[in-house]
Amino acid sequence: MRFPLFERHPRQELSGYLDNELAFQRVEAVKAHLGSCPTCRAELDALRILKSQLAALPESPAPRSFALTPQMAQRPAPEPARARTPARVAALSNGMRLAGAGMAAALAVVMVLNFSGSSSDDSRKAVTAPEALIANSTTQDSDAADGDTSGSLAIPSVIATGTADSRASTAVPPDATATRGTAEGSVGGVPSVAADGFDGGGGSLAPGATSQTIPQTGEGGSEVVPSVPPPAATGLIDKNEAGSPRVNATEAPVIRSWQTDQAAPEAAPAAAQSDGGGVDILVLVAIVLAAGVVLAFAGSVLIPRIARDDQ
Amino acid sequence: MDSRPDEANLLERSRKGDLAAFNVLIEHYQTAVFNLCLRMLTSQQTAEDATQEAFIASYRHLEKFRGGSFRAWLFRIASNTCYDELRRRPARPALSLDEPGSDGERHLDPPDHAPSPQDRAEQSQLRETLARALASIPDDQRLAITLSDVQGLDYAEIAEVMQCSLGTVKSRIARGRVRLRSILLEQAELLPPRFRPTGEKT
Repeated sequence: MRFPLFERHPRQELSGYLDNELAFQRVEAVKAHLGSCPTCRAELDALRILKSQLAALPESPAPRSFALTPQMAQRPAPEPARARTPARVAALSNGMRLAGAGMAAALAVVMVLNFSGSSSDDSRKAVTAPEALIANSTTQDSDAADGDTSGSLAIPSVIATGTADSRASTAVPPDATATRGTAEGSVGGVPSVAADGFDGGGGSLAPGATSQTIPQTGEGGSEVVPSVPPPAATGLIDKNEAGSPRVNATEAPVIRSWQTDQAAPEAAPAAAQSDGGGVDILVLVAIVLAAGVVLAFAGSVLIPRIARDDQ
Repeated sequence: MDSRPDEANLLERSRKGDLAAFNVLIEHYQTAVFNLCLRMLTSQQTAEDATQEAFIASYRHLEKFRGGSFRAWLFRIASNTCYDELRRRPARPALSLDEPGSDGERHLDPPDHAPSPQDRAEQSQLRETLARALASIPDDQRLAITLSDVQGLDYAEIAEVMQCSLGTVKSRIARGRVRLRSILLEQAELLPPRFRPTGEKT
């Protein structure tokens, strides 16, 4: 009588058993199993035959002498050099290309910020007003949607890199209904928008908003800031009325434009206090990035060529 | 093979730059190394190149040999050379098991001198099928089985060659043999009846 639960076929061990390479206890266990299992005995026989057939494969005589000549012994090993250099160079070249692409993207962001910021000299004031940000984050109430907290946490670092625009300084409600309703409600958490590094028209909208005091109307959205392009404004209003809980990039700046002084009283003064010294920083960053892009791409092209010439 | 003291002496001299001493060692091991390469690469010419390359590399790196089995060390260099070659191949064409011996380059089984013509034919057919089956299993399993069953190394030495644990050697050999067996079972009709794997006998 066999007990399958306790007696699995030791298939994987039959080879080791055949080669006398099993530990003593396992040899005993396999031996005991073989005594009662014809299947495994047959398998072991088959393996034994296979092993002997493999052993019987005739050896090919060496086709020639492989004795080394003094030249063979002295020539520098060509293999490792040939195999390794291209791999390293390719990795370096790819890395530089990636870095170049990253810097080009950053440069594009900075350029957009720079040009859009020129329409309003206030644009960088807000960037340099982290206090406003912090104030807004702390006023975040229960209306804040999930993920707003992380959005607000991420913002300071965005500002530090100089890629965020003034939107970041102004509170944007996560809940659209709150925006339209009361001024208090619009002091929502800082949206994930700013953390996303959005740049398109927003940069030009927000500064206007912070510098101008817009009277808040009861209906909210009906009052549109002059600097806001009409299409953006309408799109925003529609979304707000739909009650979309997640504020997206296009609505963010505009929403802010309503509420500034009333909704976020802490934000506006802080933004207004800072001066416009950020222009130079952006230009500087742009220049550095441009140089980096050129160097990276040039390097990615030239390095493999140089490496090839070396060989 | 009672060449142990000789081998140590030859190695010592080789380390000091005595190429003639090293060539004595080459002469001793070249058949084994060449056959290992031949099993791994399945092509006479590539195996020849790999063998030569392995001996050159072993002479240049002789100072890295720290005692133990010189054969295992040599086989390690040779198998690394084979792996390099296998990796370099674009997509290794799977050896067709259906058309044995159609290609002169892939003559894996040299003719031998069996007693009767029929025996010889059958043996040759079996070996050809077996060699092709061996050539078609994964490289690691083929190397482990070649070292064990063709070259006669024990598991510890194979672990030294393959730079892996005894457990890995054990499982590579076990899995390789199971795979070989199932290939041979599939190819059973190509084999003479008395060589057919058990379980398929009619």
